[in-house]
Amino acid sequence: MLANLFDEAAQRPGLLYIEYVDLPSRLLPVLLLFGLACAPAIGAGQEEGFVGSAVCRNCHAKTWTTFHRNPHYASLASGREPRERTGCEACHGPGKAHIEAQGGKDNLRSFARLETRETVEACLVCHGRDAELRGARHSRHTLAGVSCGECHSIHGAGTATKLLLRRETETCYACHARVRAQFSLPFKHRVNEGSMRCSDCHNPHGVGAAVARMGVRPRMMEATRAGEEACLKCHTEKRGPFAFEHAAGRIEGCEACHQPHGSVNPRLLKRPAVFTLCLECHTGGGTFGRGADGIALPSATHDLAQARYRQCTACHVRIHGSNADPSFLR
Amino acid sequence: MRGEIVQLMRLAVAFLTACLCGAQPTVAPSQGHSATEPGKAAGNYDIVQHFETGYRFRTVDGNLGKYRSDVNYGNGVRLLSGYLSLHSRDGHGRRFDELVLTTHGLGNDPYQSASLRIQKDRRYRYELLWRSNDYFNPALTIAEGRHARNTQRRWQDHELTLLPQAPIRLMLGYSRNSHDGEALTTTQPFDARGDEFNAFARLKSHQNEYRLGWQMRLFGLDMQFTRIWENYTEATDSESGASQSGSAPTTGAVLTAFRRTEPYRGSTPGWRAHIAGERGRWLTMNGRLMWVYGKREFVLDETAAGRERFGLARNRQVLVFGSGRRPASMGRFSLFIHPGNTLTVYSHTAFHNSRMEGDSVYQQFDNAARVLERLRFQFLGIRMLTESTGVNYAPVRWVGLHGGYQFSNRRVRSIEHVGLSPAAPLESTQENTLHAGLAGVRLHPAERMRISLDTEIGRADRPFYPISERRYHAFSARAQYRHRKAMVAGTVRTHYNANPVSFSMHSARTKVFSLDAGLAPEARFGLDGGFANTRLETTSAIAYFAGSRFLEGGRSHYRSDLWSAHLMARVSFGSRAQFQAGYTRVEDRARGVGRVGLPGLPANLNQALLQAQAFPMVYQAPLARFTLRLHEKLNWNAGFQYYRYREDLVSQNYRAHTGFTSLTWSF
Repeated sequence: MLANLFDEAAQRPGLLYIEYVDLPSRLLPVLLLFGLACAPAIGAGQEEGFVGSAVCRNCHAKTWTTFHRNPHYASLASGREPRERTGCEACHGPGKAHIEAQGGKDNLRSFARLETRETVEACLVCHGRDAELRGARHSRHTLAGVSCGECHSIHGAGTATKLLLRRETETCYACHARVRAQFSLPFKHRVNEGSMRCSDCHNPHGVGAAVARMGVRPRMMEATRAGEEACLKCHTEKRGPFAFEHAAGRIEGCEACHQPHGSVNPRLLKRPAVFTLCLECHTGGGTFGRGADGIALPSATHDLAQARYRQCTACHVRIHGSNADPSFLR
Repeated sequence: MRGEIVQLMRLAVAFLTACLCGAQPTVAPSQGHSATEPGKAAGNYDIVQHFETGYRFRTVDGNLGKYRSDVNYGNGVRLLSGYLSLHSRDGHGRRFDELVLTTHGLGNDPYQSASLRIQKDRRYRYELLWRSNDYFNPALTIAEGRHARNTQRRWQDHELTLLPQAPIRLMLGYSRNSHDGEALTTTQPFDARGDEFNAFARLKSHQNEYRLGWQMRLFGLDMQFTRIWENYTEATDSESGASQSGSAPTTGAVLTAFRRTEPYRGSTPGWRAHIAGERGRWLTMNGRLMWVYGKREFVLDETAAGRERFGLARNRQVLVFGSGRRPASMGRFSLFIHPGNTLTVYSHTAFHNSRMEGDSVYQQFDNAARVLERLRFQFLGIRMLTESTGVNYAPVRWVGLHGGYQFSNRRVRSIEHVGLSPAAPLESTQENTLHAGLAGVRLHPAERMRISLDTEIGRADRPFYPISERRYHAFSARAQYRHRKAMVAGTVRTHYNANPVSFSMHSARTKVFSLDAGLAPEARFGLDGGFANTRLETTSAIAYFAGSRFLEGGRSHYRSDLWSAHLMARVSFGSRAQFQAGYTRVEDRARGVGRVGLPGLPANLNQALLQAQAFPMVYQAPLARFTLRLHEKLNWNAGFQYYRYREDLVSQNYRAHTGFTSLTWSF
């Protein structure tokens, strides 16, 4: 039925909107009001050269064949969107000139020719309501010239959701080669295995200023719903609050000790031996904390000449925070 | 001659096929499912479905624990991947317009996931993501290998949006995160300076989070409010039934019985608000506010019997109870001004304030007599302000300039009460301010070529930790050429940081170089490869006690020279067969500087410091995957991946053959 409607619509632009009037009479008052509200937009659309999406399939049959499986098809199927937000013309602009010229890329919005900012603005016309996507306008990706089309493809998507060109991991690796290497290390978060995704921790569409660490870093890290470091989304047992917190985790973040993407060391630690990792901070510096000694030196009872004292976490088992012992022993 | 070549090729194919069938396959890289894949009509719906089921194999030579920690694929029948999609052909389905279900690794794979998305235009949208991860870590180099874990973590996230396109939309959400399993840990039951003993622990924790939110447009602003309720429960207990000696050979401590229960539970209610708006095309703003109040109640009951380090019989019970509270608030505001098409001025402002306060009552009973009672209270307050202002200017189409300034200020305040006496609390404050400048150039010299250069210089006045950034500068450059059939990109990055203080110092230098290339001249052939080199070198001052002497002025050196390379090739033989082969290699070639240089350093500690200066290792994983179309709706797949891990510090090397053979049904 809808296909027939499109055929007619191809001949009579605006038919989809006229058809709306033909509904149960009890809805007429509401529809009249709606129609009045829409009328200026429809009229303006006709003047600006909108012709409706059904015309497009005459030449772009391959794209049209599976377009009903594209999330953007909803704008067409609903029939309630204004013309500048409906179907093909929602993204590519009015098609009249394109049709009259029998094709060409100069007479409509061709995303391959747009500047990054123009592409982002075009997508945010509809997607700008989403709080997670709105930051794309000025994310570091956008500033670096990475536009929506570098990762997404409306008509040639390689994934079933999000319309990504490739699997999410591969999409990110395409530019972040160093990260690919990190996730190939023996100890890593299971991103390559499909158990995690880059977007579990990062928001590629940009976030505001980060507050987990100094220097407005880490960038593009999506905090937890409570505004904490992204690691705590999954590692809830380390979130606390604890009566005695390991302040380093709250101040310098988990990256003070761990390499979140991957490491050659167990537990994603930054050093192969634990005691060097601890001693590099516990030099007695700083003024906050117990006795204003900040980061306390190991006490004289810790004879580093004995191997057992070089395994700090053998005793300090609650190193992320404890409720029972300020030294994280239990 | 030609006949011999054909014969050899046939033999090679037969050998390869035999290898793929009989070898121990491992990795089953699930193939992506394109949104443009043609489907089959069923009523008003268009259906696409694939299910790949098969058998996994593995054999491991060497350290099985390390293999399980790194890879962990096992033997057995699996539903390796599944995909089902239903789309309404006219966009007006009766119950839903779209349903997409994907699964990965179901049936006892260590990494399993499933996602479901159902939506009906203008009515609702529901998304589910379920994941399970089997985690095994023998942790040989940590805590003398006495902290092993064999646990499973499961996540599920549900999001339901009602009236998704309406001016007022309603959002409901539920998330659950559970962590269960067994672990090996240690305990010091008699005194903090005594011996440590092994204990067996059962980990159990669950987090449930409920969300209710709505979004609306008012006064030209998009507003979103979300109410969050989070409940967290942990019921981990540990015990040791058998009599055991401690790890210190010189003491006579013995543990004959040990049991600890430590229930821990609480809630974290919170609010989140998001407001965004724009004024024409020249001004946009974005703000977010969050407030949460985390609260946890805890009890620890520990009983231990045995002999202490001086050989005396001890029977000790420790009771601890109290609560921890952490109210936190966070706000972000971003403002963007676009005076013209070539200029953008932005400002990000954020604050975060959290204070952690808790009290715990500690009671200790030695041989049934209460000998100690203390009330401990600790406060840790962290307040942070951040401002980032920048300008992005593109005077011509092929040049873009970027500059900015960042300011961060953080104050840490701590208060501590120890004991029951009314003595004044220990109170201290430290504040750190960081100023950083950024500059960058983007060049677009040709349609398909892009070059970017960025640099950042920062200065902090009083960083909290020796490893924190104090005087740092970073530089990165990236060049990329991308064509429809080929891509090549190269990146160079450096990051230097020096943190000298009067009694300590730390310096870190990182250099990264990477090169990636991809080639797909035609649909049936693709090649993708690249390598990266990351060099890290740090030097830190350390101080410690060794053999009753206090040694200061020592150095901890660490080097990493990580080389990684990957190469993947894909060939399709008509529409009947596809072959993929790849190779990944990671190698840390670093060697330590070979000096510690501290007089009086005991020989064994000197050796330990030298060993910790680098971690040379090699990890490689070649793989192959073959797919043969047996029928229009049936494919046979086979895959093989070989893993080899080798390092020198601890003997935990292994070689593993893994693989799978499977059938993919499309119906």
